Order: sequence, then C-alpha cells, then structure tokens
Amino acid sequence: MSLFPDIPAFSSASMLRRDQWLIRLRWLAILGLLSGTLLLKMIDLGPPNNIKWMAITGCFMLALNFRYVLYASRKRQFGMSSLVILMNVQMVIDLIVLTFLVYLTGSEESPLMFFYVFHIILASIIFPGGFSYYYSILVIFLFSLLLAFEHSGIIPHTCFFHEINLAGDVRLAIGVWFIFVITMVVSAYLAQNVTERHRRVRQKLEIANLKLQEVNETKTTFFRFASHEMKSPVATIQSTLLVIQDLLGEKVDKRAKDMLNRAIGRTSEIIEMLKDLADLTYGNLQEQKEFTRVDLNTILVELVEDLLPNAERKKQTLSIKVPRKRCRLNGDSSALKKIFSNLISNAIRYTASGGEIKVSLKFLKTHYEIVVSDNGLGIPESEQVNIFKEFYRTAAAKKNISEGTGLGLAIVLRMVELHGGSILVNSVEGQGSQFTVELPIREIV
Amino acid sequence: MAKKILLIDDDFDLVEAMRITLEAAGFEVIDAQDGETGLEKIRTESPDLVVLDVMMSSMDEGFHVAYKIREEAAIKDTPIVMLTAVGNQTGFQFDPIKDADFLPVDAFLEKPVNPKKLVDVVRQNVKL
Repeated sequence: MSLFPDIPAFSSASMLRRDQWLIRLRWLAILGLLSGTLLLKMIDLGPPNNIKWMAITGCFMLALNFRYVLYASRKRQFGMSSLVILMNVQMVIDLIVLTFLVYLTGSEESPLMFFYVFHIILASIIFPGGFSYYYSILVIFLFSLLLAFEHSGIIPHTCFFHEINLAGDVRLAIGVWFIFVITMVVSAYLAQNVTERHRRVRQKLEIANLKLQEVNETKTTFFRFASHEMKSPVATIQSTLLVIQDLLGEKVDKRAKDMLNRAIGRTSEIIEMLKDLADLTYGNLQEQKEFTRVDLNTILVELVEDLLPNAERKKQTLSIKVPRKRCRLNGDSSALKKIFSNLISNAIRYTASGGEIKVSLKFLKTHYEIVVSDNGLGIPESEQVNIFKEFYRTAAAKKNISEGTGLGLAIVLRMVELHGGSILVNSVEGQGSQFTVELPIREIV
Repeated sequence: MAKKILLIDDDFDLVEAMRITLEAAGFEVIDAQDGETGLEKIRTESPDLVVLDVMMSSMDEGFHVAYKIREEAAIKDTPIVMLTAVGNQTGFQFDPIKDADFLPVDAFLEKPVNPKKLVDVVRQNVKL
C-alpha cells in the first residue's frame, strides 16, 4: 500500500486520495503518541496526570480517525469544496490536539514543537494555493495563545521534567531520543514525498512532450508521403486532359468543352494543394544546414517585379521600399521567397481593385523587419488567432475568393520559424492588414 | 523526314499523352520505360531529341541517364529535355534555371505537361 497520493491535479478524486493519505498518516501519528505515552509510563518520566491525559488524547484521536474513515468512504458523493472543508476541519482539530499535547509536555520546553512544522508542510502538500501560510499563522496563534494563557496564569504551567535532574538522567535521553527519531523519519518521509511528486510530474510532462513531438513528426511524414505519392498521377491526369483539350477542343460541343475546362481547373486546384502540402513539410529534411548567404533586397525587389502584373491586373499599386544597405542573412532563398511571395500574393488577392500594397524592408540592429501591408478586406480580430493554422480560411476569404488552399500562411509561419524568426499580424476588418516578419541576423560561423 | 523523339518515362499514360501531342505535331515518337532501355534505344535508334523524366525507379534516375548520355562520345550531342516533378520548378530540390550550369540538359519542362509548351520546347531544341 502506498502512502503517496499520486495524482497531482486538484480534482475531487485526487482530493479524496489526499484525505485518505492524511488519515493513514494520522494512524501512524496516533500509534506514535500511544507508544510514546507507554514509553513514558514505563520509564516513569513526566507527571502521571499528564501521561494519563496523553493516553486519553490518543484514544480520542483513535475514535475520531475511525469517524474520518467513515466520512471518507461516504465522501465520494460530495463535491470538491465539501472535501476541502472536511480536510481543513481535520487539520485544524489536529493542530488543536497537538497544542494540547505540547501543553501537556511542558509548552515551551516541549520537544513536540517540531511537529507543528510537519503540519505546515502537510498543508502545503495537500491544499492548493497559500494554505500553508494560513496554517503557519494558525500555529503561531495557537502557540502564542498557549504561552499567553500560561504566563498570565489562566492555565497552570506544567514542568514536564520537573522531578528529574536534567543532567545525566537516562530517562530524559530516552524520551528525547524517541522524539528525535520520529522527527527525523517524518522529515525524510515528507521531503521524499515532495521531491518524488515533483519528479513524477516532470517525468509525465516529458513523456507527454515526446509523444506530441512524435505525433507531429508522424503528421509531417504523412503529409510529405501523401503529397509526394499523389503528385505524379494527378499531373498525368492533367497532362492527359490538356492533350485532349488541345487535340479535340474544337471538335467537341460546348458542354463537353466546359466540362473539360472545369476538370482541368479541378486538377489545377489539387496540384496547388499538393505543392502547398509539400512546402509545409519542407524543412524537416534539410533544416538549417542548407542555409546560404542570401540578400533580402534582391529577393524582395525581384518578387515585387514578378508579382506586379498580378497587381496591375487589379489596378492596384504595389510599391517597395528597401534600404540602400544590402540586408544579408544566412537562410534558404527558396523558403524566403516562398514567405514573401505568399504574403504579397495574399495582399493582392484579398485587396479590392484600386487598392494599395506596400512592402518594406528595414535593418534593425539585431534583426530585419519586413512589412507587407494592404488596405484590403482585413481580418476580424476573432479570426486572427486561426489564420496560421493549416487549412484555415477566414469566412470573408471563403466568400469572396474561391481559390486558396488555406495552407499559405501555415507555410509562411513554418518557414519563418525555420529561420528563427517571428511573424505578427495587425489587421482591422474592412481597413486592411499588415504582416510583420522579423528575421534575426546571424553571424557567419 | 520526321524528326525522331524518344520519350523515357515509366508513366505509361503520360507517355501516351505526349506521344499523341508530338505525333500530331509531325514527330515520330518512340519510348522506353526505364533509363537502361532508354540508353540502349538512344544508341540503336539515334533519336533527334530525348524527353527524360527525372524520377523513375529512384529520385534522380533521370540525372544519371543524362550524365551517361553526355559521357558517351557517340550519343553525347543528343538534345535532352528533362521532365521535372510537380513543384520542383518553383521548388526546393533543385532549381532548373540556377542548376542548368551543372545539369547537362538543354531544357526543363514541368509536370503537368502543357501540350503547346511541349511542342514548342521540342521544336526549339531538336537536332537539326
């Protein structure tokens, strides 16, 4: 049987387990008290009246603990809060009884004072939050009250060791030794309990974390495998359709021609999706060992040139501002191109005709800041947390623009993270969006 | 006389699609399902151009075939058009434009194959 309550969370089930643990510990404490009393009786140490009261207290606690056991067996039906109240009641009664025992064994002379410490530690293990502080205040209060009562003459002081010669009496040595042994064993037990609990929790977290990593790795492998395996057949299907369109396009009737065009459109969508999926898994294989020295100015300027026709088709202005100084960093140029081409394409796609898209690059000592902003649709605040998730598309995006896989920003995030950078979105619905990418500048090793 | 084009690709349907396109454009088309057979056909049939798939039994079988063609004196002048997998053109495993210097091929064509583009590229590169 383990004395250890093994669920760390404060659920009602774990609270019940703690209560049962507390009750088990109390059996041990009562056993200690009764055997201590017997020992005192045998070696004839201490006032007989006090010994008698100690035995009575022991029996009282024995009866009380049986009562607690009965409670605990019924407490399954109770909620968490009633459990906490019941356990607090138990702890407070324990402390009052301990104070009585301290009084019986000579108050400020009593070696039982150490046992207050154990109660405070127990309170910190059993209850959440700052309960141990409340218990330390209660202990201070009870002990101060005891001293105050005695010294103001309300209750008489007991000189436990009154009748013996303190120096050289073996009975004193035996009594103190007994308390000493119990103190050491209880200290070791409690300290072990706390650290063991801590270790178990940490171990559980580590295992959970490893499992998560494994699941993520499996997902990535699956994406890569699935997209890779589907690419070729889909490409062949489209090639075939294109050949049919090319050779028979003029000979078949309009309905068949439309159907063919739609089929080609569908396969294009699938191919886009597969390319995006492949991009999303990119990085696991190569990581940073493939990094080379790249020039952000050139990448951005070339991208803007490439995408300008798309913007002009929608009568949008697409402008770029880069510093005169070359912004170089260690990175993967394909991945960096992907980041900014996705961001700029998104801006063009989700901004109305005549809108304005701005790209800027800044050098900021420790990192480069690239901002892509537009005065387009914008993203509602409630949706901003989701836009970097795989396959997520905002309601407005789905409504206004049919194309899009919902993977673009997930790819962007992945590739920014691959470069040790971060991405921030700042957007107001109906006014526009601003994506800020920060890429740390690495020294060449 | 019609120019002879050799298609080396293990995807039968893609070969058929390209064959129809190229024959309609007036070429004579022969094919091979793998690199080894392909090389053999280049030696025996001396085609005027080879369309070579990058990925067949292995990720880069096409590259090896291309290098072997360039190493053999008798066939080293055969023009090669390399078919790249989906996503590779924009993508990450290699960059045809950047890598053209050390890849011994004359042109790249991305899958899915656009018939007009195929005919254009073949016409531009075919041995005169």
